[in-house]
Amino acid sequence: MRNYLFFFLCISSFHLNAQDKTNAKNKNQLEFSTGYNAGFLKNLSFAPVSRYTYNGLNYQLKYTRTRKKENLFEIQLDYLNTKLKSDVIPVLGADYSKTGMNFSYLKRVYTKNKFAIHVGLQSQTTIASYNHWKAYDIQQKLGLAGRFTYQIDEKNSLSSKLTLPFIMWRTSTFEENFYAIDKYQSMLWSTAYTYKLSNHFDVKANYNFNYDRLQIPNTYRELQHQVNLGITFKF
Amino acid sequence: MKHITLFTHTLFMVFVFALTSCTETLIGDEGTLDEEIYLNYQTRTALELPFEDAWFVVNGGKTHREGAHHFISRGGGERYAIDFLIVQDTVLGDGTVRKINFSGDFKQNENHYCFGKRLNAPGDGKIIDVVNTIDDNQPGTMNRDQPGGNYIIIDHLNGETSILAHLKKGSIIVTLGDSIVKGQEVGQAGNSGASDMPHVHYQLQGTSGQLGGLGLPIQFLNYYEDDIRVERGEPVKGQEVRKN
Repeated sequence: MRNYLFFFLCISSFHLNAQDKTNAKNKNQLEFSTGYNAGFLKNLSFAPVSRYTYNGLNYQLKYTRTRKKENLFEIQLDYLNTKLKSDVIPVLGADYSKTGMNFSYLKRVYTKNKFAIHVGLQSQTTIASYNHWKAYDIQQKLGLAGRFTYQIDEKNSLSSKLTLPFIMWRTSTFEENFYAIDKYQSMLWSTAYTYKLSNHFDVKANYNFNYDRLQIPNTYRELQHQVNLGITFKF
Repeated sequence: MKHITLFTHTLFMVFVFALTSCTETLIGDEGTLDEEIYLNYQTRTALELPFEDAWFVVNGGKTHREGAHHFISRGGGERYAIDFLIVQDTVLGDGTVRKINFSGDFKQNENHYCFGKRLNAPGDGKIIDVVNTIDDNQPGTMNRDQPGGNYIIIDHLNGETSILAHLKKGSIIVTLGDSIVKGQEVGQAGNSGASDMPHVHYQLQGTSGQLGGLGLPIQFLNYYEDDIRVERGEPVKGQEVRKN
């Protein structure tokens, strides 16, 4: 699996010329993307399994509004529906779906030539369902976010966004608690290449890395690698 | 320009390779003990079913479906806990026969077949905790403030501890510090605590060390599962079990 993912990413990176251009005339962007998700989950409250693996398609819908002074407001929806698998205890396989909604506001703090940096806050809500809602896990997170954009040329650009959540509230079948960074660590990293098709459409290839770690006796950890292709409508 | 693109590609691949390679570290090995318990744990205590007559397994087993709410309650040591009650084959209005756990008004504890039935110690040990003063609930309601209701905890003095919960108020006849033997009467089935109908909740958990507080698979000796003799087995949801 790991080698397959790596190979896929290499091919993607060689064949997709990147870009991400903010058209000065278009203040809104609506993006739909889909792609392959490779995930790993440990939730000892849910099952005595040290590591579930899961694969499948994930879907993203993202709206970006460019505001005054090139500040960015982003809303992103994510959806994944898959099956948890364990080679050690196959009988404990389970249906798993996960929906996420992120809001972020990023202020442009640096710009020079083709390079721009934004920083701000991101709110992230994730709702996970196990075995068709027989068990559930809702997490609300707040974190710091930073984004850089590099305009390679008129049609190609590169962007990357890093979010570091520092607090989380969790309500679930298993517990209800509030966690700070001493027990909860997380990182979301997204990087994208964008190619401008026209003044109203871009195509994009991006890679997402999502990681959550909750250091409690009923350990919870989740890791996701996602490779997506998407199209953006600018208006 | 060409150099920048090449550098970007190289950096990207190296970073992705690093991330995919560190999966083992990021996910960690917590839970391997849980897997070992699930797959291989052998109950140390010589256990027998904690009741007379035939009882029905409402929740019990090692899957999410069989173990139901217990299976996702690792923290409380309930993962492999079993809920038992008594049922009788009952002919319904449409002529079908179903296993029903009460007759008459559901809301009366006394109408439930297991209410007030004798409960025994499942194994030898020492009583280390007793609660005997919690009111029984009216069926259909639950006391979540005192989830165990009336209960006893038996230390088997071998790293394993038994808990019998939801007993009838005032029915427990053993006291803190008593040494007891397998089969000895300890109280009566009730409907106290986080229980919405009369039944008995039985769980086995580790006493200390790595197993401390963890629920353990429960293997009883020499009993009948659906009229089939079992020398050592774990009751599963839907079975009718009895000692003799």
